[in-house]
Amino acid sequence: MIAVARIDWRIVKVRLAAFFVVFALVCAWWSAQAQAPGANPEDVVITRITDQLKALTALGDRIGAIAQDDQKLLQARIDAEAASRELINASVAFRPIMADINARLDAARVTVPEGEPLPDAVQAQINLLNTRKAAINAALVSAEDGTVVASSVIERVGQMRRDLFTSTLSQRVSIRPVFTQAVWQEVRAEFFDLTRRVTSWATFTLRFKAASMVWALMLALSAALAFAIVSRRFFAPALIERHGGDNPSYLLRVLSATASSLLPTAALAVFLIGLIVLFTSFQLLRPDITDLLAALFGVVLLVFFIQRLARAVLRPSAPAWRLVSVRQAVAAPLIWLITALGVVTGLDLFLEAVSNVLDAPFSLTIGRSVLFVVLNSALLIALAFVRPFQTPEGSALGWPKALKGLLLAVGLVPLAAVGLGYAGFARFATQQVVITSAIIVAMSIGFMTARALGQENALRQTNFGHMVQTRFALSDARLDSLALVASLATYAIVAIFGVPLILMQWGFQLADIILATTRFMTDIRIGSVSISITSILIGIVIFLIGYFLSRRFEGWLDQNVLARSRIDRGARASIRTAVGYAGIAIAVLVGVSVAGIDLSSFALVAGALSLGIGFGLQNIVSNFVSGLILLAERPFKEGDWIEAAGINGIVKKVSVRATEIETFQKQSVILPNSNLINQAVGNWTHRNTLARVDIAVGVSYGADVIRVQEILRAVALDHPKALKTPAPFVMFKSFGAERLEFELRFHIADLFEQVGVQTDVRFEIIRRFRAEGVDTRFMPEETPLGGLNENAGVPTDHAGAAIGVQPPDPTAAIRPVPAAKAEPLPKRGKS
Amino acid sequence: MNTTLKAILVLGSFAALTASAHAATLVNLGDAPVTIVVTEDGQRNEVTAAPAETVQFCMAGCFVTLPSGERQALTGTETLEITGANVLIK
Repeated sequence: MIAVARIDWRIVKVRLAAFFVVFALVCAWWSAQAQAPGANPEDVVITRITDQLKALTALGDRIGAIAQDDQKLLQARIDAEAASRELINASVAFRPIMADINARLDAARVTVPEGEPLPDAVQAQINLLNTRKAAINAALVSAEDGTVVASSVIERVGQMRRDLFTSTLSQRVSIRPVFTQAVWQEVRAEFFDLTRRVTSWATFTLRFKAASMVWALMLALSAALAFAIVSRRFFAPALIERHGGDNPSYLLRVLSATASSLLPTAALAVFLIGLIVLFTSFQLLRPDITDLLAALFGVVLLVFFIQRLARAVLRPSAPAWRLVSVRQAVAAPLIWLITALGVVTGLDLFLEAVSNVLDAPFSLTIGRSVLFVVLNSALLIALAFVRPFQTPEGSALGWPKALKGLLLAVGLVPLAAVGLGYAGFARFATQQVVITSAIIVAMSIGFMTARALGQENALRQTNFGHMVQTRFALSDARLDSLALVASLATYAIVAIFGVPLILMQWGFQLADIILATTRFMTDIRIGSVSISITSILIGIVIFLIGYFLSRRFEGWLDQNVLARSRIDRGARASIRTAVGYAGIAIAVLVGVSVAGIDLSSFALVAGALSLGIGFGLQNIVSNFVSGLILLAERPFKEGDWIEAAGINGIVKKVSVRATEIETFQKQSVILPNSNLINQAVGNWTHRNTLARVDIAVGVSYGADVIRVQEILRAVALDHPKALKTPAPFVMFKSFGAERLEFELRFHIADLFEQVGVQTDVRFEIIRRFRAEGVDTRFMPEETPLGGLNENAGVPTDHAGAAIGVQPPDPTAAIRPVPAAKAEPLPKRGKS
Repeated sequence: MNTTLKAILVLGSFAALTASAHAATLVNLGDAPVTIVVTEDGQRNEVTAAPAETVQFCMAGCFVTLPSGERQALTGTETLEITGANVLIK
């Protein structure tokens, strides 16, 4: 028979006994004291602790008996952990009581001045309080010992489970007994036992509780039907094949596969689980029947799901909808094979539950394992020889070499192991492979769904996406971001559910997995630095929140506060930028501090590099500081016409590093701020948009200068845009070589209109000059080629054209045309 | 599909699940080093804190024996501030 490892329980038992004795003594002593009238608050807690310690002792006694049962060992471990937690929680409850006792002790001592003997009453009270304190301390000591014992129990249980596992795997049994007559008789006996139990339960229930049973059935059925109808309505567009046409998109196929496998399974699950729940609440079940039903329903669900999944992926009747393109001839047989694998595994699990309930003899377990392994291996080997793919030429192609080899190995090795007698190992290996592969396949489909969802425009092209879009009135971009979020969420969900499932299948405990994940997320130690991924992520989230909040606040401030105040636009822009930068800085600081990053180490590094960085960044920093000064001092603001570094233009934006100017030829010039601070900057519109227009006028030496002055002043005064104050002024500039030079100076209110005003004034001047016959020749822009004063005095007609102009003298030198004063074309109006 | 985004989201969801994990802290506000005995998971360890040092020691429930001999039970979220002989538990 199987050798059972002899466990040294003696030490554990001695410890258990020791602390229990101590605790018993404490209890006895405590109850022997004079009890104050009314119960003490710590009594309740002490009772809790005592109960847990008793439970632990009972557990310790039980453990020896369950060395062969993994489930019961697991339960023992869970119980021990619960007891330990309860001990700690109970002990924590002592804290306020202890604080209260200490406070009372202090109060009692304070009533008597130092040095004097204490009166009897006070002494008695102090004694009582001290007694209580001692009792609590003793309880704490035994609770602590209790946790130590619980830990050793847990460790022992772990060791026992490992031993059991090893012995199961490595035990070698003779399988010949399986084929003997005796085994078949045992099988028949168990079968009769099973049928007997089931029929006795069924007859009893039908006779006495038929109504409740029918009720439960109907309720469960209606819940499942409701679920099925609702989900089908919701997912119908994805399930209906003809909507996809002949070439459905990848996303559509995946969605359809997921929906058509998950939804019916979910409906069935609702029915079966609802049935069990309702049966239990109507008290229709016996414990053994509950186990049997639960196992049966679990297996039914598993097989159903596998079959639907295989159908959804392989789609024998709709080749365009397959997720994996296999040959048409192979699709249906593949589904059959995969379903058969599911059935065999499910059957094995069900029979295991049955033999647990019936306490079947060990030989049956072996027989079951052998049967299971043989069937599974046969199916896997058959699967390995399937040729599901097609070469471009059309002949059948098998699995990739590696996969085929793997399938064959997984099929043959357990078979060989069983042949050699290692039934436990063979069963374990096969079961693990089948179930883990199932989980991995399900996860892959989940990941495929997530990836398909995340592709651009994928969701929009499906019926489902279209439905969502019209229902919630989303724009295309919104739908795409929604699809991206859904994709990421699907990745996360599949990972969170799939990975622990696989780990649990291989024996890890859920609590351990959670604990390890927690440790990983919050505390990665590298040397003396502790990184917490959780804190970093929270820091990032808080920074993003702070950033958006500051943007919102900045916008609100601008709209509501600054718009209503009388501050001009440039100042508003400055305040808004400053508030924005302050907000970002605060968000960064808060995010970094929440992330738990210690900035002192950064400071060290920054100090060391500061010299080099300083040299390299000096221009940038200079620009940055200049930008801040510009924002604060505001020598110009947005919309001003400035002249800097030889560039003339309107200021568009004052940023932290540079200022953007738009020239009148619509070129954007980016000037670094340091240029604007360090050099002279001309601002036409710094204080106001007043400008002086200077118009140079030249008349010939023979003209009537007084009349010229009057005309010029009149033109300026008559123009509606010319200001009366300061009054227009006609300056007699010089006696030029060719003519007399005047300059008409007047002011206008809006600098940006000067071009128009100048043009009007010039037209008006020439009109009036010609109307009055003022000699206008030799104006600088109209210098004719040819002789000088020969043309003086030539009569003009009313139109101002010279009559009888002499042809130019070819011998005279050509006079150079004075360069036209380059007037920039200002942008009309303000920007 | 941006793998960085993917990784961040998976990590983020793990983080969300585990965001409430902490450890108990010992803060020594006195001038001399302070030693407490921590019994966690059945193991007894000594935890020493130098003056003005903060030490984390208990993830999920433990018993501590303070320098005064007094015992306390902690759930892993408390902060022990020790100043010489005075102990403040938050």
